[in-house]
Amino acid sequence: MSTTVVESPLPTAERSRPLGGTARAFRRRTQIIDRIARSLISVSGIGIICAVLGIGVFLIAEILPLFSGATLHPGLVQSALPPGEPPQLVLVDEHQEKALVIGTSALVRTVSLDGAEPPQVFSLDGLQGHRITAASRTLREETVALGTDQGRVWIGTVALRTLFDGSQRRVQPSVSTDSVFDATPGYRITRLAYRATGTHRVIAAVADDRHLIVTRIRVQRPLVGPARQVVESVRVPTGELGTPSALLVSEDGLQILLGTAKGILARWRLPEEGAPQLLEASPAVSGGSLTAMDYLLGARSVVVGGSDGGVATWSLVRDEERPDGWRLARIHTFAAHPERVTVIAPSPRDKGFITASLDGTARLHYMTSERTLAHFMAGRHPVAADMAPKTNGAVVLSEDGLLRHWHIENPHPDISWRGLFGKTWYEGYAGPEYIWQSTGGTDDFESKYSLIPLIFGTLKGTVYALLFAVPLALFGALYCSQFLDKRWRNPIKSTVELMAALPSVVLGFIAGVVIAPLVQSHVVAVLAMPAIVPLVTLGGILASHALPWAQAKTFARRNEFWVLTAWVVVGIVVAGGLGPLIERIGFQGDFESWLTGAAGLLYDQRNSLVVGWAMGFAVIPVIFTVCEDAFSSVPRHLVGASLACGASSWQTAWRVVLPAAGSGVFSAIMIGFGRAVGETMIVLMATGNTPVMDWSLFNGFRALSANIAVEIPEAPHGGTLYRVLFVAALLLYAMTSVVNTAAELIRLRLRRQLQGL
Amino acid sequence: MSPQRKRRATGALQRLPIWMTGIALGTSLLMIIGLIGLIMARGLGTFWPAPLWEITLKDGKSYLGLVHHVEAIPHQADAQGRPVRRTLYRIGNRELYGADFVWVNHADIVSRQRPADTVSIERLEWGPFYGFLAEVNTPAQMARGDSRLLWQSLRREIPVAHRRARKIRHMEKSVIGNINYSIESHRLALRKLQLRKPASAGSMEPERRRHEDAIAALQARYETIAQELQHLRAEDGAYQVVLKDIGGKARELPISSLVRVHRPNQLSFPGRVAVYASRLQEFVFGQPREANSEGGVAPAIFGTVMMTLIMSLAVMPLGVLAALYLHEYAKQGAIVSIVRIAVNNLAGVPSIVFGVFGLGFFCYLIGGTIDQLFFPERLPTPTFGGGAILWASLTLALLTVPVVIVSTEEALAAVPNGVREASLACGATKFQTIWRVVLPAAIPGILTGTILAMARGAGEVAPLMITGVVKLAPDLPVDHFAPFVHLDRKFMHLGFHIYDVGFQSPNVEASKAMVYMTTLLLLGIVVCLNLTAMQIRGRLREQFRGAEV
Repeated sequence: MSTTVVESPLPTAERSRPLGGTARAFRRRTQIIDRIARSLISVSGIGIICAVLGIGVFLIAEILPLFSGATLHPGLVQSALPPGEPPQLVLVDEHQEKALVIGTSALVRTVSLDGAEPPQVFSLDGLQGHRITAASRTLREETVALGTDQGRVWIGTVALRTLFDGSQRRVQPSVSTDSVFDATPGYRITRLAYRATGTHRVIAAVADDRHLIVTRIRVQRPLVGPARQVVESVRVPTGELGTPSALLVSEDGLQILLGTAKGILARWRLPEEGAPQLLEASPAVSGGSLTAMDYLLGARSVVVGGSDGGVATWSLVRDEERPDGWRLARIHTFAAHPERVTVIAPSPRDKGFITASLDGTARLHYMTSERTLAHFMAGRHPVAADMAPKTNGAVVLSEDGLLRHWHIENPHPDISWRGLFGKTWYEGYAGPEYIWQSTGGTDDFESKYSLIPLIFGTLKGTVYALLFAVPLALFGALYCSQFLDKRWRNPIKSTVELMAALPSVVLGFIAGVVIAPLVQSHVVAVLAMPAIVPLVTLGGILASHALPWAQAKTFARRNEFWVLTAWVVVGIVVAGGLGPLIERIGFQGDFESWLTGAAGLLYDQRNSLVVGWAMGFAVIPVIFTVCEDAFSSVPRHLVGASLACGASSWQTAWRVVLPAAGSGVFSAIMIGFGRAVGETMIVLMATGNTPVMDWSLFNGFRALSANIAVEIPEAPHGGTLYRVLFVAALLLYAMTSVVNTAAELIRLRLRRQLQGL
Repeated sequence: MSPQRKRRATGALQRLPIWMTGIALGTSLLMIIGLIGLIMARGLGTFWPAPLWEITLKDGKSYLGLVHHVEAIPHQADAQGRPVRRTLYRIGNRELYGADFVWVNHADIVSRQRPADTVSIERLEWGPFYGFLAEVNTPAQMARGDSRLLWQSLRREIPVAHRRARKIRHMEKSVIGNINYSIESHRLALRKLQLRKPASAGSMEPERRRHEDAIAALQARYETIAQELQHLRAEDGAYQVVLKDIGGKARELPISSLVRVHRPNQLSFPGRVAVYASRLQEFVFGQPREANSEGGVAPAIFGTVMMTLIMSLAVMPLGVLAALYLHEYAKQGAIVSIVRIAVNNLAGVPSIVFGVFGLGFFCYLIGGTIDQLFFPERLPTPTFGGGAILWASLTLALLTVPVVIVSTEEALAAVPNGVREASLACGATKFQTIWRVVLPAAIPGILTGTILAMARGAGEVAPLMITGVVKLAPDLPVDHFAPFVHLDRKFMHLGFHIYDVGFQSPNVEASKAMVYMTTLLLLGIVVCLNLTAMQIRGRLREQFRGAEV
């Protein structure tokens, strides 16, 4: 396939003859045209073929970004606090212009992340003379709680807000005090957790590394008089669990999660009245202490970091044996840090989080996909960190007061090979499962992209279609090529081939709108047809052989097919008539309720039975044509020899023709398989499109192809769903390519074999 | 038993397995005949005007409607064990009853008759109205009472009203449409000016002024035309018809909103044929109404044909070039065999995969680039960067190019080598041989391939759904605004019409009739194309069988 132009010498006879000027010019022109045409055709031919074959390459190129992980672009490293002041809290704004930093003194400082603006300082009311020793912050909320060395708790707003004057964007810190009170007077607060719910506020504080004190503040509004704050404090006995080392209050304010120095993760219930109740305590870190803990977005999972550097997420899982019906379970584990985990910063947008360890190693993880997307160095002894609200950046503050900033590019954190093709344990589920659910109603909904239910659906549809189509097409082709009267062969072949031209949207419409209700009302008859129709037909044709006019041999042979077909019609009518009878005798008169009662299956109107039938239309002509070709190309002398040896025509067909064309039949079935796998409109219209995973004949499924058709119009360009649908497309491409290539190779071998005979 | 009969009996038994295979073929044949028969029966019958029945029930209710469907209620039987039957009547008058259909149990019916003076009215909104004429009000006269006179005056008024409606529609669509189009193009020009470098801002000032003035002038013209339109509408509103349903509820409608009226219970046979023809004409040439569930499918036919034409314009040269290269120029060997298998394979790749490719490659990559280079003023509204008829056609061209390659190669292979050698021996160059000798001989094969490709393309829906088909396109891809052919527009398609109306329509039962007709139309187009291709292929084969001898 060379594209270079080769100088072709003129024939010697012509070269020797003198040529006139015009003739020479004409010849030159012709040759130039020939060369141009040659290169043009070669280039465009190769181009077209490459373009056509490039489809797979393009699909792969669109998929690759899914697995590329995250990239971090380091920003400035700057000192955010005066030397010697250990940091407590850091937060960053949406546009990553500024960060707010709180150290031990009662001051909030802003740091311009690009170093362009001088720092601003705001003081916190009510904390004069106190040293801040603990801080707590809730995702997506602007409220911050601070605890001091004298047991005072400060609650207020600390946030960065974006303001617009005209087209100018300005990030403005907002600091205001909400309330200040003494929670553990005289004791230093070492850990603090805070949560505000609709009716009350809950503050959990660890005093002097020993006592866990829970304070609940309720605002009572009596009918007359001013509103009154009711403050209740209760001490939670942590006893033998170990020194409290990490603390969280649940979203509803009714539970406390506590990590201890013995590595235990404990959960308490805080009843409205009375003492806290220990619900469970399980070892979370073996042989070490639990050093850091935080809720992920949605506050249903916690990330737990230990002194051994281990990182894991725990979620509440249904467990009826437990007192409150729930149990904390470790559901995802991540690569461990070399030293103890000191900081956990959850993402405010998804289930991602950053962990950092004493030695300065920091990692970006994603819970559900169990992926660690990036490794980076955050400076020795990181103390506080925050992820930007759009998850496209992070800041980490280390013990020495240095603030490090990164821009993060992390387009598809929730996708992993395991997530696409394996079981994933999602929040709120009892165990790992295969789930496809790309959109949901709530804000913190997590898309679930397991392709397994869709692949299952595709295979289910294909299997039922082939179960229906292969016997009909294969035996139909055998009859057509071996036994059918020659006069009818071509028209019948063409008619069956015409079936291939039926647009699949037409088949889908008929299947979904006409056949599905019809099958529903005659389901027993339909199921009985494969038995009744052949019986009636065979009986009928035997009976018609006894008739005197059928005994003229020529008539019988010539019109046998039409007599057969007529009896098939009779058989179908008989089956339709017997259906209700069978239903009354065998299924108490109502098949659907029998199905639900006896087999526990639900009957969907648009089910696999209907799809199998409709896809049969698409598959039968494909298999029929290839099979018929294979049968017809079996050399006549083989057949002749077999018949001459005394074999009957059926014996010849079954023992000689079928084996000789065996690989052709196999390749036909594979081509049919390829067609059924990719069929879109029929499965889209004739199934309920629910991604269930069971083999029941009486419910639907969701196939890869239909799923693409349904979801890609809603998928934003370049987004995760968009790319996952490209994975589905590539899967279909690969499946059909492999099957079709195999079929083609087998067919070529068959041809060679038969030529050898 | 005589030996002869015995032999015959064993002969028959020996044929049993053969008959079993015959059953398979017979079933396949019955399936396709049954399917096409079903579509024909349901489709062709829908436009035939059926009688309107007045039914009175035991509980005193009465309905006026067409018989839509009769069935036996499943799992129910009366005292004698006979199945209980019921009928679905189409009673229309959706704005009065809420639903178009009502089930009536046969046991509940007291009387059933066909009142002669009922009218069946198809109108622009709310589906059909079945009832009686009560008044025909025009500025000149108010007719009421005698139904025959009312009918005559209504028949007289309808063509006049349609003329008025056409005028209004012309004003709305063409005149105001033109103004809107001009305003929009001036706006885009302004935006384009804004996007240019600010350095030349001063020099652009006069141009900017010019566009703004033009917009102001156009807006002023719009105001006058809007007033004129309002006047026309008020005038049209004075022509009203009052209808009564079977229960005596009155409904007043502007005469210009009636599409077709007839008295089904008085129609003669030619009258019925006329109604049928008129409905068929509206179906083929008319615009869709009522969320595509009534009216015509002209835009869908237009879209399908145009898409198929663009596709074949692209697919034929591409396929022929590739085939020529593969068969005439490339050195035959392992690589070409592999390429051939790969091309063959591509014919088996699911169409939805091509759709996904088309969306990612044509719409987003190429279209998005075109938008950024040539239409930055329209962003973020995509011009070529979304679904478009061009991208849909190219996607289908890619989908069908293997068909053309394979059949062209077949045709090239069928040209005897002797013919080629003769041409070369006469001194013709290779290209001359191909151009003058081989290609002419292969033309039927190329045509076959193209027609098969067209048939496949016309019937495909899945890839189109994501590359440019919409349920209702406001504008055709061809109109009177320069450059006249708008390949960036979305379009309607018969196949998608079936999917959309049959499955997404709010009133599936009422729109079924339309879907059957659309199905029939699409099936007709596809089957005709296929039969043509088969014919050509058959003739081609015979021709070469002759040539080889």
